[in-house]
Amino acid sequence: MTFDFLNSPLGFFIASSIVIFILFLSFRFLSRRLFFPGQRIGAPEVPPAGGGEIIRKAEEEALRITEDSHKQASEILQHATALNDRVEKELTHALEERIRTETARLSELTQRLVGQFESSFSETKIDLAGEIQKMSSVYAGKVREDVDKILHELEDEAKKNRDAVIRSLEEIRVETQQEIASYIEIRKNYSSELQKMYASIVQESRGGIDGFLRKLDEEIQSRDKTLADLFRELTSAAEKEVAEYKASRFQRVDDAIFRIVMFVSREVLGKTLSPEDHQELIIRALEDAKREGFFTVENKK
Amino acid sequence: MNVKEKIELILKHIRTAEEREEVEGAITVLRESRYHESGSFDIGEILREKVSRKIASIFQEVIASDEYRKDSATSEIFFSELEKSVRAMRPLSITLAVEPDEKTIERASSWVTREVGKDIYLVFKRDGRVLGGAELVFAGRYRDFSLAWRLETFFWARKEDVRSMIHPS
Repeated sequence: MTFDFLNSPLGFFIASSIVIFILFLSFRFLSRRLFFPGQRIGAPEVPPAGGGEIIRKAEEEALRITEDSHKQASEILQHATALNDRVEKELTHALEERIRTETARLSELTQRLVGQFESSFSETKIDLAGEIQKMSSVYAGKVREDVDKILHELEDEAKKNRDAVIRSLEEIRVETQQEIASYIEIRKNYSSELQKMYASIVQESRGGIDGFLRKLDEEIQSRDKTLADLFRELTSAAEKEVAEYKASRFQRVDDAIFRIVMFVSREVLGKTLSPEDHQELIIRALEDAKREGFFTVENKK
Repeated sequence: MNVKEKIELILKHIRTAEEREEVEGAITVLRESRYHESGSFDIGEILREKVSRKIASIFQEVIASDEYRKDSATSEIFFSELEKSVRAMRPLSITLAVEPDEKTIERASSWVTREVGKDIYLVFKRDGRVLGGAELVFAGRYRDFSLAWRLETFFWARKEDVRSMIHPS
């Protein structure tokens, strides 16, 4: 019974639609697991680290998904249209085959009835042929009506199924578009957040770097000033020491020369003084002593 | 000539420390001789072997009269006063570059007796470093009036001039 249903065009169409729908749901589930690993569905979406790369990949993947979805939707539609045509053809063929079968069966039945009627009512003069022909026409018309009715029902059913498939596909398309819009929105949010984070990081980094550079400059300037002061002090001290040393050495040389001059003068003077000169110098010494009060103070005592 | 005049006369001849010592020595000798040789008191004879001729002649000039030969009390007063006066003399130390000759001693002593006082005797010392002039020490005070000091003062006062001569521009 099930095998017969799947072999029928309608059963095949419905089964194919279900399989496609299941494939779509699996694809959707897998795509979410692929792009948001570790994220529960319905949980707030937080930009991951390295959001820019992920967003770019998500965008590419979303575009690819969109294209694949459109492609699959087009293929599904084409397949559905072909399937519909095939169903129509097979229905027509089945109906024609059934009409032939039924006609053959009715003809056989008619012949058998005719035989029965001929055998049973051979003796009557009723125009059975005309009656049978009439009944056959009526019966064939009824059959045709039934067949048309069945065909209409089948067409309605196929149309309903096709509409359902189209609606499903439309829903899938809308849902895919919503997913894409959601992705785009997420991308925008990510982008905005990333821009803010980037700006904040840049600002903080720049502020930190500027402050660090400023401190560094101040420290360098301070060290430069300290070193310059130290160098100046050392240079000044060294120059001072050199100057003092030079002055000291010059002073010592001058003093040495000076003392040599004095020594020579003394030697020369000492050897050239006559006894009279000595007497004069002694008297002069005594006179100078008296003039300076060297004796006077003691006399007062 | 009374005792004071005689003492002044003797002190007048004391110019140096050596002469002062000789006078003191003479006083001692005469005192001792007087006690041991009572009755005969020949100053010239006593002093001739003990002190210099100059000192001996001074004492002979001053105390030649008989009263000092016979009257021991008078002579004791005289020697006592003389000794006291000699010991009271004040020294003036004079350091010279050369050994002073008689002329120098006489000239210096005359100047000191005249300009400073009669109770001063000279203590001559020799130091070649003074070159000339004298270093004086009197009543515990020192003063350099030597030629070396004057020369040094002169050079130090004109040090820059000397230096300019050493470093002619």
